[in-house]
This record gives sequence, C-alpha cells and structure tokens, in this order.
Amino acid sequence: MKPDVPADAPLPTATLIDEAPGMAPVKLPLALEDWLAVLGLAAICLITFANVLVRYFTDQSLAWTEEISVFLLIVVTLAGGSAAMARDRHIKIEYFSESGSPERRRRMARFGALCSALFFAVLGYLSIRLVWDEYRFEETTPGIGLPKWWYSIWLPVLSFAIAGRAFGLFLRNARRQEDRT
Amino acid sequence: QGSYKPEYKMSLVLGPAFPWGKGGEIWADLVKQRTSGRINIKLYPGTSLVQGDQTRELTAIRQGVIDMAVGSTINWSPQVKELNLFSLPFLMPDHAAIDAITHGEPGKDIFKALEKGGVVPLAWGENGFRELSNSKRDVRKPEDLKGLKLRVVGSPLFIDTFTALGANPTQMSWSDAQPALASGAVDGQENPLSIYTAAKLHTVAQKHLTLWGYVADPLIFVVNRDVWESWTPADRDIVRQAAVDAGKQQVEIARKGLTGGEPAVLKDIAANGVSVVKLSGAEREAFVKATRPVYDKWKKTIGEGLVSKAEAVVAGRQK
Amino acid sequence: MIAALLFALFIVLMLLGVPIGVALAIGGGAAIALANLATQSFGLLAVPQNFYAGLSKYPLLAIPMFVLVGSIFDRSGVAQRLVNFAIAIVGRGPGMLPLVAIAVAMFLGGISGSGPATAAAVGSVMIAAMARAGYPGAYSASVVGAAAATDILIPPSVAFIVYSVMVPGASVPALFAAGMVPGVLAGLALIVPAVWLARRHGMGAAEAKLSRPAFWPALKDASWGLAAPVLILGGMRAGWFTPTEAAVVAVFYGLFVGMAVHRTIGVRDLFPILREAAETSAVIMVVVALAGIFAYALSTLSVIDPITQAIVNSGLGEWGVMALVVLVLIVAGMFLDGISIFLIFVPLLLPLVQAYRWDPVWFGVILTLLVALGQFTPPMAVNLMVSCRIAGVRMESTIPWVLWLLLAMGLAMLLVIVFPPLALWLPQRLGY
Ligand code: NA
Ligand code: NA
Repeated sequence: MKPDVPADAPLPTATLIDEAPGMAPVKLPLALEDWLAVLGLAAICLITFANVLVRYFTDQSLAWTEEISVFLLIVVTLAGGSAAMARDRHIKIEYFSESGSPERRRRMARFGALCSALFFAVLGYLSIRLVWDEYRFEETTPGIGLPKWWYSIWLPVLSFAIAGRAFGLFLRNARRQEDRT
Repeated sequence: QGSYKPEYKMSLVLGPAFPWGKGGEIWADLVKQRTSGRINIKLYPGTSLVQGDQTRELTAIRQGVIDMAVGSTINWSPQVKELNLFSLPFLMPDHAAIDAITHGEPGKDIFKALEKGGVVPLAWGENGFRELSNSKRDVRKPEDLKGLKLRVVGSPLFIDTFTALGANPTQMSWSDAQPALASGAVDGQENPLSIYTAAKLHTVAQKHLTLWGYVADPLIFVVNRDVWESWTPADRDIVRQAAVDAGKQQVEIARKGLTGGEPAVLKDIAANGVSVVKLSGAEREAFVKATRPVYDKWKKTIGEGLVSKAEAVVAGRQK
Repeated sequence: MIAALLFALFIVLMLLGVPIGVALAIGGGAAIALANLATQSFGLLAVPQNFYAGLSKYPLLAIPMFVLVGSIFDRSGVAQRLVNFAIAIVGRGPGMLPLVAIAVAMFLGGISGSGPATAAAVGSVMIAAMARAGYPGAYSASVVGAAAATDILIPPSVAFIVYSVMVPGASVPALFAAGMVPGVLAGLALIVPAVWLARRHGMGAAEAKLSRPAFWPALKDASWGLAAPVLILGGMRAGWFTPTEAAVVAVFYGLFVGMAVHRTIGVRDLFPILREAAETSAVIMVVVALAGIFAYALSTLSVIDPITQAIVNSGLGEWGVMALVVLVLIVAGMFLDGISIFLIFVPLLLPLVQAYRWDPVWFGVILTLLVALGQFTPPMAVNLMVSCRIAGVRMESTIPWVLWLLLAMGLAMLLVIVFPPLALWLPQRLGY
C-alpha cells in the first residue's frame, strides 16, 4: 500500500491560530492566559472522565463534579477569551473592516479594540459589585456549599484581563505595519 | 417614593400551565385589577431573566435585575440558610405540618431572614412534597435504595440525605437528567408529582413511584426592596393582600387531586402502568431513623432555635 | 424607541468590525440602562448576572469537549487511514477522490463537533492528493469546504448543543438523532455535483494511474477510526454516558489512538492541542455569554411579541413566512458565523415557531442546515477559509464550483422542509 501523502504530513491547523499578523508583539506574555485555559480544560476532561469511570466501576459517584466543571468552564472561557483578544481572534464581520485603505482599516481595528476594552472594563466594574454583594450576604454555592465569591471573584479579575488585552490590541494596532496582505 | 415603572418583571420557574406559574398569574392579575392598572406585571417563566439559573434568582431580585418572584425555598437556600429547614428529611409528615410551619412562628422567622437577605417577602405558596421514582424496583425500606443511582437536586443537604440512605446521588442539570433517565445512565429522580406527570417520566422507564414525602418545597412571594419602597403605602397593602390571596388559591390548586380518599393524580399515574408505593407509618419510621444523623447535623447549620420551633408547631398541629 | 436603538447600535457596531459578542452586549447594555433609569445602577447588574448565568450551564461543557475532539482527531492520523480505506473500497478513476473526500468528511462528522476542524482534517490529507491526481485547487477546496459543512448536522454537533441550550423543548439527544438523516442526505446531495463536475471538466485524469490500496490492510489500519463514532454515538444511545460525558470519552479515545496506536501525537503536542481547543471554544462561548445580555434586554423590552404578531398577521401564510426565514438566514449566513446566527436569530424566531406550532427539533435542523450552507457561502465562510488556505487559492476562485454545491445542499434542505419526517423519524424511533 502506498499512501498518497505521508501519514505524518505537517499539520495545517497549526497555522490556523497564529498570532495576529503584521503587528507589534505582545509585551505581557500570553503564556499566563494560555496556561490557565489549558490547565482548566485538562481539569474538566479529567474530572468528567473520572466521574464516568467511578460511576461504572464503583457504586459511587462524584456528586461535586458538576459545580467544579461549570466553574472551570467559566475560567477557560475568560482566560481563552483574553488570549483570543490579544491574538485578535474574536468573531467579527471582517467584510467591511478589512476593505478600504490601510488607514481606514487601521482606524476600524482600533475602534473595535477600544469598544471591547471599554465593555470589558465596565463588565469588570459591575462584577465587582456582584462579588461584593455575594460576599456581604454570605451566599454559598448551590452544589458544594462553598462561599460563592470564591468562584465569582474570577469574573472581575479576568474581565479586566480581557479589557487590558483589548487595550493592548488598541495600542498595537496604532503601531501596526502599514500593509498586511 | 420613586416613580412607577410601566411594567414589572416577575420571575417564575414554571409557567401558568403548572400550579406554580398559576399562582404567579393570579397574583399579577389581582394586583393589576386592584390597582386599576397602576402596577402592571409581566411573567417570565423558566427563570429566563437569569438564563434559567434558578439558584441565581434571589440575588437577582435583591439587585433589581428582577422586580418580583414566586420562588422556591430549595432554590433560594444557598442565599438564605434558614430555608434549608424545609429540606430537613421527614420534618413534615403532611400538609398540615407545612401549614403549621409557614403560618406559625417559624414562618415569621424565615420571613425575617429573607428581609435580612435583602428582599421583601409577602406570602407563602406551595410546590409540593418531593416523591421518589426509579426504574429498578419498588422502594419500601432504606435497603431498597442501596446502589440506586439517583439524580437529586444538587445541594449539600440532599446529597447528605441520599448518601445516608445508601443511594448513589448524582448531581445533574434537568436537561441532562431526562436523557440520562431514558438511557439508564441514572436509575431514578425525586421531584413533586406535578413535575413527574408534566415531564411524563413514566415514558423514561420511571415505573416505580414511592410516596414518602421526605421534604416539601413551599413557595414564597417576594418583591425587590427598592420597588416595594417606590409604591404608595396603599398600593403596598394591595400587593401584599393580593399575594396572600394568590398564595392561598395557589396552595389549593397544588393540593387539588392529591388529597382525599382516592387522589385523582395517582389514579392517572397508576393507569400508565406505574407501581405506586405509599409508605405506612412503620415503613416511614425506618427512613426517619436512617436519616437522623443528617437531620441532627443540619439542625445546627440551619439554627437549633428555628428547627426546634418548627418541631414544636409540627407536633402541635391540628390534623 | 429603546428597542430600535438596541438593534441599531448592535448592527452599526457589528458592521464597523467590533467583535460580534461585544456589539451584542453594548447594544443590550445600553438598552437596559435606558429602560431602567430609575433603578439602582440603572439595572446594569443584569449585565454580569446574565454573562455569568449564560455560561453556567452544564450542557455547554460539551462545546470545548467536542472542539477538543476535533483537534485531537485532526492530528491522530485517523483521517489519512480513513481515506486509504475509502479508496480501497471505491477504487480509482475520475471523480472518485472528491467522492472519497465527501464520504470521509461525513464520517469524521460523526466524531468531531465543528465544521472547520473537519475541513482542516480532511483538507490536509485530500487537497494535496487531489492536486497530484489533477484536480484544480479551487475545486478541491470547494468540495472539502462543503463536505465539512455536513459535520454540524451529523452528530455530535456544537451547533445543536447551542440550539438546545436556547430552546428548552429540544433536547440534545433528540437533536443529535434528528440531524443524522438530513446530514447524510446533504452529504449524498454534494456527491452528485462533485462527481458530475469532475467528469464534465475532465478533472482527475491522472487518478486512474494511481495505486489502489489493498482492502484488508487498509481496513485494519482504519479500524481505530471506524470504531470512534460507534463508541461515541453508540455509547450515548446505550446509556453508558450523557452527551457531555460522551465528548470526554471521545477525547481520551482520540488521545489513545493518536499517542499509543498511530503515534502521531507526542506528549509535547498536548499543550498546543489544548490551547487551540480552549481558545477556539472560548471564542464561541464568549459570544454565548454576551448574547445572554442581549437576550435579557430583548425580552424585557417586550418587542418580540408585537413583531411576531405583525408577521403572523401579515398574510404571508405559514409557507410564506418559512420562505422569508430561509431567505433572511441565507443572507445572514453569507456574513455571520453559525454560533452568532443561532444566538441572534433563535430568540427572534422562537415565537414564530410557537405561533405556527412548528416542531422545535425540526426547526433546529433547518436552522442548522442553513448554518451549514453559510459555512461555505462566500464572502464569509469558515470552512472555505480553512480549505482555501490549505489549497493555497483565493476564495473568489471557488465561486464557480461552490455555487453548484450550494444548490445541491439547498435542495436537500428543501426536502427536509417539505418532509419533516426526514428529521423527526429517527428521534421518534429512538424514543427521544
Ligand atoms: Na459532527
Ligand atoms: Na458564509
């Protein structure tokens, strides 16, 4: 048998998530968010898989997994969302923003980044209110009964991280090389 | 006093097709009528104002995201620990016991706790006793629960109760639970009969139903505090009285078909080939004994004073 | 008035290139503030509440899991072996490689939950092979991009999970079962123009001269991949695990095949695989969470009911309204990605579904078919973007080929609209 291409051909997906091209590099290393997201995702896999195994091979089940998994999902989303903001990978309609003169494109890219930065900063501020409220009224989590703010504190922290990444993108767009093909 | 809003948002878990939602609808209608339309209320079933996250409802009311609600004591217990009282296993043997607590001294204490929690409680309603169903066998004694995989409300007290009974409690969202029941990934669940019938659980192999009434879930009619204070005292009285009237009707609707010699709902369920077990006094006692350590542990968490008061009014209830 | 502002702000920001989720949230947030000027913090605590609540849903866990499954199988060497096995079955000749590409994409659809992942997996193996056999790059890219679109119909599917979370009446298992027949139908529909175009334009003339793999060794090689959908779909059906857990089981199965059997994945590949999956799913779920803010604003402004009433009473009739929905979504699909289409349009369309008593599962399949079409309708087409990048061609060059494929899948969709049992028979049969 002669395969058409070697089975170990270079993987195309590696090129799918390269850093935003033609732009100044990120100063604060993305490894922070990357590791948080990767560890969170790996933990979700391990916990859920352990739950299936435990349920089948013993008579027990890990009743607490749902709450932890959902919490980790939020961490993965916000950390991954922050990295994606720095890499300019959030879903948008590029049809109009990627046409016209380089100057016009740059202005629209900066506008998009600024709107994102502002929104996530507001979200961060409002979620501080939320966390404070949960702390003050001593709310507990429905599943395990832990103090709720232990979970929700991540919302403002990571919202500000996303806002910071968006602002960084705004600044880097200003310095972006004139032409990107 | 502030200005009135053109429309107020009322959160409900279930819509007017269920006794729960019906209670909300009656309240809204009474308020509109008696205030001559000064206070307009729109219903949001499915806790849709917080994306269906029921345990977030009370916080959202306090924060003004929701104006008013008919909410469940179980859903709100993460915010107000006293509400766990109703989830103490086998505290309330019958409807009279529920009424003795909600309309007596303990009910007033719970309302005070809710006020401290940042909302204005007005009246009581009822979601009903939670009954147990499974696909494997009739459950008459705690040993019958051994090894059964049960989807239960995901709260620490419920997990403790079922673990003490030797079952294998699993926490699962209701959307995952129904396919899990259908496929046999879990064996059983516990819910009020109204949910059992509405979700047609006999079609997902839940052929064994045990009426054990281990906990009940009263409903509470509440209003956001800022909204409450924005109304004139006369309108506040109207809203409060409407809540009390609606609550009374709602409890009647919820209990209709459940009480009396040959309960209609049970006849319908049995007609679907479901084996219905009603525990005798002695059988029930075995479950009470098995869950006693959980009861004692949680009595401390909830507050010895409140639980003792509840025990006293239950013992002295008129049957 | 506020409602008009809500939509206007959202659309203008979106067209200016603001991320869609952020545009939804700013539109929603502004509307909430204006409608609650007298409330504490202008009622804006609804923003973090709905953001957080929109994410805290257990079924959503399946999204990063199925994206991860796609990422893993993409590198597990399974696609290559499935291709060899398919060639061993159908043989060589003009039009056979595109047929193989479509069949393998459909099969991988039974493992992966998202279109672009399948486009990458199939494209990386097939496009170079098709080039050597004499198929033009633009044609190959079109076939792969279109074939990968069947992925979101054939279970598992991220699209169905999002729809199910938004529509309480449609469960994930029911939707998964309902997508099966329409997904296969859509794939078969693509084969017709793909083979016909190849023959008519004399493409793949060199293919007949290429060697044909022997059947049994090819089957043995492909067996690990062939077993994957059986495990995932069968395990879910048999009650071994819930849909969410099924995805995790598939993750570990894929890792086992990639690391221990085919040895195409090393320990050091785990970080990039996880990072890619985390980021891709985060991008999806950020929109899900932010759309929750928009949905809150929309429902509390009470604008949907009057609009629905107006449409129902417009005299268009049930079929006229359905045609309008299809038309609007085809246009939307040209510019928007699938998840955004669901999050923006489902809250608007659901009241229509209720008004006409359409089956929510059937409607979910139709919406997903429209989203699948959008995945390879230029100018914004995620699958084509991936396959064109692999083929090294510009998306414009695919238009003469892609139009035929769109037409074919569009006809398949028409069949599902006219004959609802195509979608609903299987879930009913399975008792969902
Ligand atoms: Na799929
Ligand atoms: Na498109």
